[in-house]
Amino acid sequence: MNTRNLVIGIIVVIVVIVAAYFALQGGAGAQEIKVGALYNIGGFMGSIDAPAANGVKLAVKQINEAGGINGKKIKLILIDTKSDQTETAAAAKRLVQEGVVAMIGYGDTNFARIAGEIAQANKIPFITSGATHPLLPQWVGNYMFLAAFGDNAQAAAVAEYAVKKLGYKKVVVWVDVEMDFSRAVCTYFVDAFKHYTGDPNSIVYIDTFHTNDKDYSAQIARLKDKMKTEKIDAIYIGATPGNVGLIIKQIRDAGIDLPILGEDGFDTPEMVKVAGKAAEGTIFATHVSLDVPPNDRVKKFIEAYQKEYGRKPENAFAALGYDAMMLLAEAIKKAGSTDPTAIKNALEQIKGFPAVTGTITYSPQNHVPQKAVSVLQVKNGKFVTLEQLTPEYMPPAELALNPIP
Amino acid sequence: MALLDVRELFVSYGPLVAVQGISFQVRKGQVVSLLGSNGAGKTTTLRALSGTINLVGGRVTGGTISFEGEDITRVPPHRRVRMGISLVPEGRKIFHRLTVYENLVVGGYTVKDLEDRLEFVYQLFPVLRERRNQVAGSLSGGEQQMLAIARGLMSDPKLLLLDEPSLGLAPRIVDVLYDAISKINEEGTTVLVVEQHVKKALTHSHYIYVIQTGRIIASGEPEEVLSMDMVKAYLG
Amino acid sequence: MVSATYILDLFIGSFVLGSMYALLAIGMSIIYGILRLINFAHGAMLMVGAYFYIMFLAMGLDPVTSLPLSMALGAVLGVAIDFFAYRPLRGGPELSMLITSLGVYIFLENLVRIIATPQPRVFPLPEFLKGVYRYGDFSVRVIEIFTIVSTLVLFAALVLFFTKTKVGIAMRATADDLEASVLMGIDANRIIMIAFALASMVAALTGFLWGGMYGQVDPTTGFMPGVKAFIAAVVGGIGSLTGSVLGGYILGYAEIYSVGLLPPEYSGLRDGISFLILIIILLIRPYGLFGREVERV
Repeated sequence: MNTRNLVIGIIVVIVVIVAAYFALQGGAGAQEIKVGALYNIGGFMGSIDAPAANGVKLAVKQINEAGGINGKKIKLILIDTKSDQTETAAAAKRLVQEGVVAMIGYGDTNFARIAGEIAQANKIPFITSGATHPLLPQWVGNYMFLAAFGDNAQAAAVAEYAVKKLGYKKVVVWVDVEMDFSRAVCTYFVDAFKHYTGDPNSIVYIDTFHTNDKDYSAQIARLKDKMKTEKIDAIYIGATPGNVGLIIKQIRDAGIDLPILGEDGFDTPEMVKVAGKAAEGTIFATHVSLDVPPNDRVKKFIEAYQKEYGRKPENAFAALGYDAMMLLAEAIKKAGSTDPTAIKNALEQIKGFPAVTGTITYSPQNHVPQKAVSVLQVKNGKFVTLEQLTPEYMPPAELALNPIP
Repeated sequence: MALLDVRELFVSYGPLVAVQGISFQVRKGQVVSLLGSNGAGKTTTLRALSGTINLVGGRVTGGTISFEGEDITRVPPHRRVRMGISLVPEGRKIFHRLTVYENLVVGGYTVKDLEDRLEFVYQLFPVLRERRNQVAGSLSGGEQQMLAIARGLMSDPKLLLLDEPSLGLAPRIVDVLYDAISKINEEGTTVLVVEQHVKKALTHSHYIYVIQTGRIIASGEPEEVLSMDMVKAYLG
Repeated sequence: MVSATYILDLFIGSFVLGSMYALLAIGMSIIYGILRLINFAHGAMLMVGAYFYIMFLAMGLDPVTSLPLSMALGAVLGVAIDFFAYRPLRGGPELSMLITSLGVYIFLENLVRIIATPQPRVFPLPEFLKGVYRYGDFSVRVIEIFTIVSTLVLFAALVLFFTKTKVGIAMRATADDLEASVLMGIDANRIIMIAFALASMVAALTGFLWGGMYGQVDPTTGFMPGVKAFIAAVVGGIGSLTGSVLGGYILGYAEIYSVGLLPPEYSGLRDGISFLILIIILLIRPYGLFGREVERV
């Protein structure tokens, strides 16, 4: 056989295999419910999204082992979008092509919004497991649901803890101007902190940075300078997993020992890995206390995760991923149908759903659940729960329409 | 045996054949001139000899170049310098941003004993010694040509190729240059010079080739060549 | 009111950042000078150098051995990239080399992503560079001093190399006129090889400094520094050694001081300011501050 025939032969074989693969996939579809999942397993969001994807997979496994939903098994189509927003849009479109009945995904607002818009346009429900911007459903539309609490809740919880338990009166806020999430959570924090202190001047100043900045020496120099003339109790940072360790390390390297406060972007093993000892004492909000499980649901989830992956859940996002999938399964069961709009309607009827990260209730008007916030602290390299609280004061979600700075 | 022996040389730039099968010899110890008007293929021929034709998009497509009996047609240009061929290119091509001294150092890249060569070229062109720490780009045209020749001599060549050394220079400077060329030749260096400046070539050459549109149309001793009617008509 | 320590803190920060930009810009300038190639892959060499260092540490070597080894391996990689990616294109249009260098950047970033995972890696700084000196309010890290000093020493060494050694002068000659340098018996390929080795070695050192300064590296680490170094080189006059170093410092100072002296809500504009400086300087001096006038590398 000459080379040309060989090449043609190989091409024919490849075409046949690919065609057979797609044919089989299509044929099996009738007995399955296709669910799409989008996560940034690669890239700077990886430390949050990879555990979340594991949580989703665990939930799918448990549902299928228990016989599926209404007799049908779930077929999960998981795409890694590598923290790249252009890949996000392409992947969401692909899921639409695949004919998924619903989508789950992302621990960050920017990504959830991009994918959510595409789901919305095709009338497919999108449950974001970890994005926390309370205005997301308002921006995207009525097919967008949050599995997590809103940023106003987590910002208020940290503000309440800082003022009432720690007695802080003056803080500095650092906001990442590139991330919708950071701008929103910092906006709510500023509002809540002023509310709890009753002092409109309790925010000493607000500084800004970019997601991919590596050098924070100028912001740190300014902080050092201000500390000389003003009494500052703490610094609240709207950091995300890719830069939180870097920022904390540089602040501590510069010899600043000011308490550091943060949000659920801090809930990543990367923080302690990169910052090391510098991370000690950092206080942040997140979705569940994995170190002291508050109830049996959390305990059971931790055990199941440990059994499946050989390690404890890395952070609360694993639990959120699990919750989002379980929530979707509940809605499909209730709807008694795999029609996306029926599923969306069923989601809006969910009341008091017992999730790992708290109790979830939706209504046609509200797609953001109200849940308790866990306030954690880094102690000896571990995340330790200080308190679980439902904040007394909730900053209005609309504040983030005009975010700082 | 000739020092340089070129046989049936063809050089092309893409589809354009600039040199069409020329043959000529340069004997050891001589000054040989290649005369011709603009675009006759003189510079192309020198580039083929130095091996830099490939750098300007051309290619030797036929024939051989032998130097001291060795076929060098495929030898890379930098190795030809080590073999003893040095080209002083058209437009001088001195290193403008380097000092005079640095230009000469680079010229002597292939030799061990720089001091000896430096002394030689400084004696040939004393003005270069005075200006040795000056940036080459700031020299006058004549001084730049002197520097180019001096730089070409730094590698102690057996064969010095000169591409239109008199171009654009005042007659007084041209005299100085040709005196130097004669001196270089007396010291034992063979010279192949390409010229439009017929008079200078005639008085300083042992042998002459006339080239027109890529072909040699005449050759011989200077007086002999000049007496040919067609050469008179061509070179004016 | 700004205090003296504040200005001093900003000064050190600018000096350090500027030093790293300068080191990268030097490499870009050396390569541009000789090949007329804006080597976009140069930023990736910083990132790869940092990973090499981490790799040698992981193999059990001590920091003092790992750093020179990572620089040497960086040099080898630089030469290999030239050999496989750029050499086949020599003599072709300059644009194809430029596009190839973008391709090489993407290739290197993704290769590291596959081999070392996309997750950020902790960059372990050797003990002797970990300390902090304090003088009252003012404090400076040992790695910061190390970065500044090594940049200045390297710059001085390179100036000597390019003005006092035969190979160095030959490299400048090649940058000035490649054809003429070949006529002097210089093997252009060898000079280009040395240029890539030198530039990549310096980039690997910059990778070490970068990782040490900021504590973590990931496959995308080289991108922004690469862009900034390019701006620095152009601002200084690409091809000029002094210009590149000056450009690096101008950029470092502009970035840090713009963040430090403008009101805090404008901190996010730092990258925009870099590009603004580029545009302004190119409008006033199209060839950059030192372009075409002083020594070209």
